[in-house]
Amino acid sequence: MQQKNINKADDFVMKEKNAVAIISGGMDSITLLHYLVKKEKLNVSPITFLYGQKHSKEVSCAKEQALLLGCTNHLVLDLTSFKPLFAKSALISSDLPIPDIQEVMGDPQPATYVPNRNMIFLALAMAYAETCEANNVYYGAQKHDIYGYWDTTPQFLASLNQIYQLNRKSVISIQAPFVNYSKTDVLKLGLELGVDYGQTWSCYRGDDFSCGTCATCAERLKAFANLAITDPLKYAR
Amino acid sequence: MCGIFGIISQKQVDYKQFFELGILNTQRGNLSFGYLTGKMGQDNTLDNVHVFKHIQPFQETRVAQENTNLILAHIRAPTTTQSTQLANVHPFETPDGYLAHNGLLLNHAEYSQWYEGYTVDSQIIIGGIQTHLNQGMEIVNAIQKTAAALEGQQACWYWHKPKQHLYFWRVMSPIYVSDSEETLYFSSIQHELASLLLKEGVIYRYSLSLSCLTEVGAFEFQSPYLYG
Repeated sequence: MQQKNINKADDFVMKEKNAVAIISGGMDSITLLHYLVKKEKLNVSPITFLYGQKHSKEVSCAKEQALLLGCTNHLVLDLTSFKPLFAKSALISSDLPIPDIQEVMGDPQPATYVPNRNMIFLALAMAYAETCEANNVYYGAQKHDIYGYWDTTPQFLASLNQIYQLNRKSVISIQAPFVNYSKTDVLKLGLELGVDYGQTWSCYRGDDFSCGTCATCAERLKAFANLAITDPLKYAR
Repeated sequence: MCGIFGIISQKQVDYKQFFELGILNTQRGNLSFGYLTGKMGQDNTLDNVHVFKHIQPFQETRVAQENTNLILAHIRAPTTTQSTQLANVHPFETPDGYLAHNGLLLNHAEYSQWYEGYTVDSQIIIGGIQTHLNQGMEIVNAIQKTAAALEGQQACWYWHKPKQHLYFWRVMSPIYVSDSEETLYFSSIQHELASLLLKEGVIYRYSLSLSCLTEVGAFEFQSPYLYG
């Protein structure tokens, strides 16, 4: 009986160490992966989604970074057949141009919003977590994402976790450890963890160089400027 | 989050132009709307100030087309709740002013004492201004102190009742204005009537009697974005 209890405890500790992390290949999710592996010492199963994005530069970065950190079980899930569901987004539709930062300022749901994407991705990551026997699913939402995306808010996270409490066998939570971090805070942490930001991609446009004018470039550039360092990526302007 | 727009003119407001700006500002969501109107008296002061609020989307048929010199509006698309109670519709009022706000504040809870029982983050802005005015602060300083304390997006118009001045300021969220002399047009979304972007962190005052928009102050602000 005692032996059984010890095994159960070991089992729990093991599950505590297992985690699933959604990584896109951008600054936030790659920093998150480094944080989970290096700082939290977790056994991370990363998951990346191909969902019909205009470019897959980020995905290449995600693969490289996962490999670098020894996450051999990186799952790259092909959801390109979901593209029609997301066709209203400028990240997907070739008919919709990627807006510059000034065009989306103050817009509660800019053209780069992907319909219900985070809910869908998190649901799939939760399924993966059940299979991997992980207790936590991580994603890289940060403080300022909430300006444009309802599915990055603390309220969204809390509501979703409430739903997953209904699971009768697997106790899994969704965690967004950077939800109170600015991009600058994320960058600072990543630099401490030795992240090579030359191996991340943020720009919504998938050109040879980052555009420097879309919302995510503007945010990335500000983070580097705040720390008075140069972004290793090349910019068109 | 939402859109702000309006027209202030020595002449009678052209409602066709107002609707054009209104329809443009529904692009960011349109669940409810509110506006303030006023008519210029003989001594260049504003009489008959009225506030109208609707818990339905912005529509021409819902706007009372009165003879007015000033119409300041707000279309609402709430960021935290879909509820459209009349009490949550802009503009908000305190003893000294009316305010409408486009944007999302991150640290409003830290200043809850500025507006007891607030239900919308924007109420913290007008509550902060009123709190500072109550402490004897002059209006521009009251706006400065409030705007600088708040983290997040702010595009605001504030009508100061005692002096009958209109103030604008912005952080991140845009406000475009016209440069026409007789009439001031403003809008959250750029339009040929309102094409000039106001500077971030600057407080502007529009004087009805002088028909001019002037910079009257500035405040410290934080933005997570780098742009030209």
